[in-house]
Amino acid sequence: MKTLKMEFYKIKRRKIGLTMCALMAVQFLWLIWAFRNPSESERLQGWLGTLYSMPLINSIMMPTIMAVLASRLADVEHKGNTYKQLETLRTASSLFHAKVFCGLIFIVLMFVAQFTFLILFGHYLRYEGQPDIGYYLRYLLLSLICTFALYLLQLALSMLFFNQMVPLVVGLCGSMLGLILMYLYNWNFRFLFPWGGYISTMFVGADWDQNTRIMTYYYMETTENGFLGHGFIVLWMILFYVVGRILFTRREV
Amino acid sequence: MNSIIKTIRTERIKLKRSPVWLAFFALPIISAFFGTFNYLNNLELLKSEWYSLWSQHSLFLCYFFMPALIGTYCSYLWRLEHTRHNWNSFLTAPVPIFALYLGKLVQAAIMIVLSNIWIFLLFYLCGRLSGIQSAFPVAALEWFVCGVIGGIVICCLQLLMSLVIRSFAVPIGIGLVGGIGGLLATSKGWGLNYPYSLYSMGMRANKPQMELDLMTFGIHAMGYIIVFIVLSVFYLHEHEMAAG
Amino acid sequence: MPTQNLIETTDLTKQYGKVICVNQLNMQVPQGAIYGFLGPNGAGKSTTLKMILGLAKPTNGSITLFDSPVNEKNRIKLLADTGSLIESPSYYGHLTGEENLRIIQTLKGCPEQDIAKVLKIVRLEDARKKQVNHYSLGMKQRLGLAAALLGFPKLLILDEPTNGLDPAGIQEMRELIRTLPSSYGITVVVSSHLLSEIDQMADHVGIIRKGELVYQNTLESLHSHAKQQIAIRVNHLPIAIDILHQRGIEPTQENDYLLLPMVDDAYVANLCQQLVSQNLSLYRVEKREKSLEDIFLSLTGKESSL
Repeated sequence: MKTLKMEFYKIKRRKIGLTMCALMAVQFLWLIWAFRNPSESERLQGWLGTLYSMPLINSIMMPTIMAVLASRLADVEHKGNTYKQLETLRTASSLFHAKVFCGLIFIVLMFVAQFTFLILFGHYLRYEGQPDIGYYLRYLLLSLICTFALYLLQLALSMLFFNQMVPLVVGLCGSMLGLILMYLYNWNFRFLFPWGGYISTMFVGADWDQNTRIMTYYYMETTENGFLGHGFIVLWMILFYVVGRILFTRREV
Repeated sequence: MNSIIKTIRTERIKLKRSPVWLAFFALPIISAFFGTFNYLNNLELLKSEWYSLWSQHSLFLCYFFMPALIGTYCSYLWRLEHTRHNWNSFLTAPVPIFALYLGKLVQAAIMIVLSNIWIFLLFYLCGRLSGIQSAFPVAALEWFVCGVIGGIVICCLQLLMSLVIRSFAVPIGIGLVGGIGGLLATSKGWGLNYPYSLYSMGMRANKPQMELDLMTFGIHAMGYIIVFIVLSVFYLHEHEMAAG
Repeated sequence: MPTQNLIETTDLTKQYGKVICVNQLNMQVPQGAIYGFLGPNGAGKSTTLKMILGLAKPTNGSITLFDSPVNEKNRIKLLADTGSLIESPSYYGHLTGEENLRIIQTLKGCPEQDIAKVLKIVRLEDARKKQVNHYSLGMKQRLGLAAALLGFPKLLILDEPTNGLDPAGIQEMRELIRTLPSSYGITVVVSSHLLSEIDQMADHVGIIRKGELVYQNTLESLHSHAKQQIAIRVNHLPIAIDILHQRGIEPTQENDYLLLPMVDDAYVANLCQQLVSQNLSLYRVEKREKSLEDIFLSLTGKESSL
């Protein structure tokens, strides 16, 4: 707890909160721009459609945002060369945990903000009916797990490499993969990439009618493959946590 | 002139042992691989051979990833000085500050040229492997040159940002957002007024048939480059970099 | 003094916001000197040195280096004749020591053989192919000195060069700095917050306190201030003062003591006899020594301790 408090103290003037707010603001602007003028059919299915689009948007933006967040949190130590000092004050493991929790708090706040925005925005656009809170919470939980897994991956990379180029490029490649994976509809092994988690756990599908130019959304049954997808995001999260922790506590400073 | 050659050489030394170029190598491969995959899966819709393939190759790369990747490289170039008290030695070297800045810009520009060569090489290979028989379009040479110029515009802007914002990651976030914003700007027809768009416009990303007035493009690009260089050098002169 | 000044600052002032960091500093560094720039941490040493190097811009006042004013126009010419090590050593960690030096050598345009020479001087020849990230702090500091020495400049500015070195390293650094003027004709400005260190290296000294130069002269003359005194304590001070006045001595009073300049044993015996004969009770007669340390403290203020 003390280490966590110290963690927030260290990032006081580093404007990480501001950076994250700005990145989320960009995401919101993107959403506003993309959905500003819903057609009648879009309005009817608005709440469902949001659950279809959001995993796609998350899978493009979140890998890079997580790379930025993790790099900012880890970079405090690189810049000041404080690892040595810190590790004499606290164990490496408690330092690692402090960073993990610090990031988790940011992630939760970001998704709470996104969640609130989606609800308010939907009401503003007069989407038909009410959002199905059960499904929305499911979306929230799945996104949090995927994002947290990516954060753990980025944190491990950012703390291990002095050269922050490495984790940032991994983040960018992750965004790219996330984008590309969503184009591979029929490929069943997207969950093999941690960046494919958003897509592989999607539970809303869409049919595109070329004649009427109307997209029809529907809730999908979770298939066997879908279960695997869900399993894998948890697996990735645990894996990155364990690997990050081992690497971090074992390395020589 | 002598000092510019000196700074280009010293920047070269500084980049030793950092496999930064790997990123510029890897990202176009991913993009080319999936672009080709997408092209082959949609052959009934994409009928313009090289042009169709290019639209698939370039879309994600030019809007989403190259701006951020260029940002990463520019951040790295300044981070060398932002860490380990290097501003002290960097700014006490007996060379003009302009030359110091140019040393960085030249490295970034070289990377743009190399990665563009790589991107077009992949494009050619993927085209031949996908069985496109027709001749490689001559227009690609123009895309290449305009792409390099547009890429250098982004370099100048990202160098300025990474210089002022002493963080590694934040300018990259801005680069990503800037690139995505380019999609909006270009679709609205504001492309020339938005520096991040010049790269994707120059590369004719997603729209290989787009007509581009080369004169206007060149003037805009030159304008941005000059403004960003002047601002960067001015900042290096006026702001006490070594004080912080 | 017949020697000409290599550095001269006139009313040099630096202000950050409302805080005056350096205040009307007039510094004179004679050619061929080892100028010890002494002051507690945060007194403005680094800021002053940075202004001389053009890394910070004076709010007011001017600096003359090698008879030319320090400004944008002369910047390159002046930096070419100067080597510096400010605060902590600058280095690119992923490069080897030799590669780090090659960068400076290229920019300074000095001969390539200089790299081997300076590596030898700081005894890093064996580590030249090693990445600097794997250097110890002392080695990094020595590499910083080597970089500053490249091109054998006319002037070397070293800010706390012994920071972080172990006692043996400090000793070595000192020896090295001491030989620079005679071996290479280099004038050295070296800052420190430790008097003993300056005392062992420098021949000139400037003491800065809260941004103001409170003392500047040769080290020798600083030593002459370190004087001995006789302190006496009696039951009735005014009578004793009268007696001393009659003898032509102006004592200073400190608590219950009277302080008089150092006098020889016979004089003390004679004085005591007179005091006792005036029915004064003589409690104490002591020899007081004002050390260099005391002078430094009185110049820099006790509150800003070392």
